Amino acid sequence: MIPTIAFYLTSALLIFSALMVVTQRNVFTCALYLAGTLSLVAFLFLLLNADFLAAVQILLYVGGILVILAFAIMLSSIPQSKIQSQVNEQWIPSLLVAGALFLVIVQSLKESPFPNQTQFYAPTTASLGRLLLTDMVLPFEVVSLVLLASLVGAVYFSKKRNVG
Amino acid sequence: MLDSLKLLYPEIFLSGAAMLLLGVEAFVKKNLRRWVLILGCGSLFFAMVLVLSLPTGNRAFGLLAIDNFSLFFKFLAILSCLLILCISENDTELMGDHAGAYVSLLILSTVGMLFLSSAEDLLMLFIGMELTTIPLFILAGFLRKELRSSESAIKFFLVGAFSTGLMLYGISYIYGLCGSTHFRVIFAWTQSQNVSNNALFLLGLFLILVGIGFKLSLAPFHQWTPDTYEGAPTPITAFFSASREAGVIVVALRLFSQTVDPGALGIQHTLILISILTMTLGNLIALKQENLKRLLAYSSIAHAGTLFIGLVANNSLGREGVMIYSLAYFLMSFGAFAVVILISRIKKSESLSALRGLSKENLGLSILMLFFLLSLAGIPPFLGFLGKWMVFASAIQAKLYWLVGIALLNSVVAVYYYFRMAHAMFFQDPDPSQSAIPEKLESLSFKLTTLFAALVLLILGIFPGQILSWIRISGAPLP
Repeated sequence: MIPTIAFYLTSALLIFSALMVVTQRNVFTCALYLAGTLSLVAFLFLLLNADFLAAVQILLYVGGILVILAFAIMLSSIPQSKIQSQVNEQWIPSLLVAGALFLVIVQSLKESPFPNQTQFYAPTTASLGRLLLTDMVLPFEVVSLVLLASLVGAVYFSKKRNVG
Repeated sequence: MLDSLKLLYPEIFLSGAAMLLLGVEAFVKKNLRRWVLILGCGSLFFAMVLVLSLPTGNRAFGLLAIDNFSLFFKFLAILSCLLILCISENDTELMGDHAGAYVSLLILSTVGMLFLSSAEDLLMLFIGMELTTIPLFILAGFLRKELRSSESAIKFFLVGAFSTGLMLYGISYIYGLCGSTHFRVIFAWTQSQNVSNNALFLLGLFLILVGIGFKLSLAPFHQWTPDTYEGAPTPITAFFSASREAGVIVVALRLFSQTVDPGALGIQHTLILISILTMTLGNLIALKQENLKRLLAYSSIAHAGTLFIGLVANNSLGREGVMIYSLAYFLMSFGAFAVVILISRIKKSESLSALRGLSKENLGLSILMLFFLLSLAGIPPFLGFLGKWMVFASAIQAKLYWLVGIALLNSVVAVYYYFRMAHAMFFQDPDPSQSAIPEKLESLSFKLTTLFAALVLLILGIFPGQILSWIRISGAPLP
């Protein structure tokens, strides 16, 4: 009973703050709502017994990415007058398409029951770690190459132009 | 584990080379353009030898299929990277101060393609796709002084991230239903139940198809292509259009013919519709283009649509056709882009008028370009014709007659705009305001690579027996 209430409460809050992220005009307010959204997603993960995922979500997204995002917003110091609306003239058609996709997803989720998993409460970190170093070691290593490429890109684009 | 590692020698070696080049870039202050080039070409060449010496019919880590089919595309990916590296040799902007980063990013993207071409797992597919595209985002914006280059990188990045998100969404549904991301498990799962009624499975597949469609620039997901192609540095554009498509089409072939059967699922009509839309839109819009890079971009969209027919047909002839077509398409679009690079460097213009009177200025170059255009238009005896013909034949075998009819009509339209370029080269006078192309070209690497491409197109087109027998062996999927 209590988990159900917690789930619906979290989901409602999550949807609300996600909507605020894309409708607020002030970028900084958006960032704060984004922090709320990501923390609530972490809470959803907790409700689903994914303890490691929840911790990573908080550490990486809320702790890492959002702090950098906040820095970027404050350093770029957009004047208040230049803040623009988040939607352009095509928002009605895109809303229709998004709504249609939403209905399709809801309907297909209703129709197809997922295989029933027996609920058990156990820490997932150990088994995840084991998977990453046995069956999934190759994707794990290749991801490091992806990260390398993105790092090179970040360094390249943030370098001053005239300095070789 | 060690046996699996042995199957990944090319990937491991190339990643090592890429890291070495980055180290050179970071720690050596002198401009080592020539050494970087030699190192890059040498390691790519060695990787090609490694690919050819791999034993086939194995799986690495249970996630990658090392069969003849994937080796063919691996070879193609490395070859394309090598040729692109050669034609960017004289580009002082790309191979200038950041030559090490440039070459290593190219190689990293190629490594991604190597993984893609043998991926048998949705997770590996996703990571391979990212490894292929993330270096390309950076390379598209490599000319930081040019606004168009940055625009192209931003557009490509946003669309790429968006499509990746959609694809991940689809993957998560399929994982939730099947309990695994491995293609064979998904295949077993589809056999065990009535999947054509499972809306969620279809939705997941559809989202993955959308993701692949964005990467392959299939209509209606193609809008980013012309802007990105136009703004990116031209060697990178050539790299995009050719090898990326080859990498993605392998995945599509593995997923949509080996793993799920489009006919049984009832999504074949969607695939046919996508193919027709892509061909028709690409060709019709290409008719009006005045910029050479944009024209080739739209023609690449049209070719992607034709390539997709081989997948729609879903038979062994289709697979073989896709292989020949990817090889031919890579060589001919590479050649055409190489000529465009040379001309635009001398004439400082990328518009169609830069081609005017090329035959009067440099006959050899115009004949070379004519070769590539004829092959792109699918005119015998070039390899482009063979690829097209095999793909069409596979569709006839699958009894998709009207699809072939529309594709043939499209080929006629395509002939028109390729001949527009040929007409400008041979029957118009050069624009006196632009500097003329010299009689003798200096760039040795340009001559070598384009002549190589043209000769391969011509020789394999006239004597297809050998390559067809190789392809026939390679086309069979791993059981």
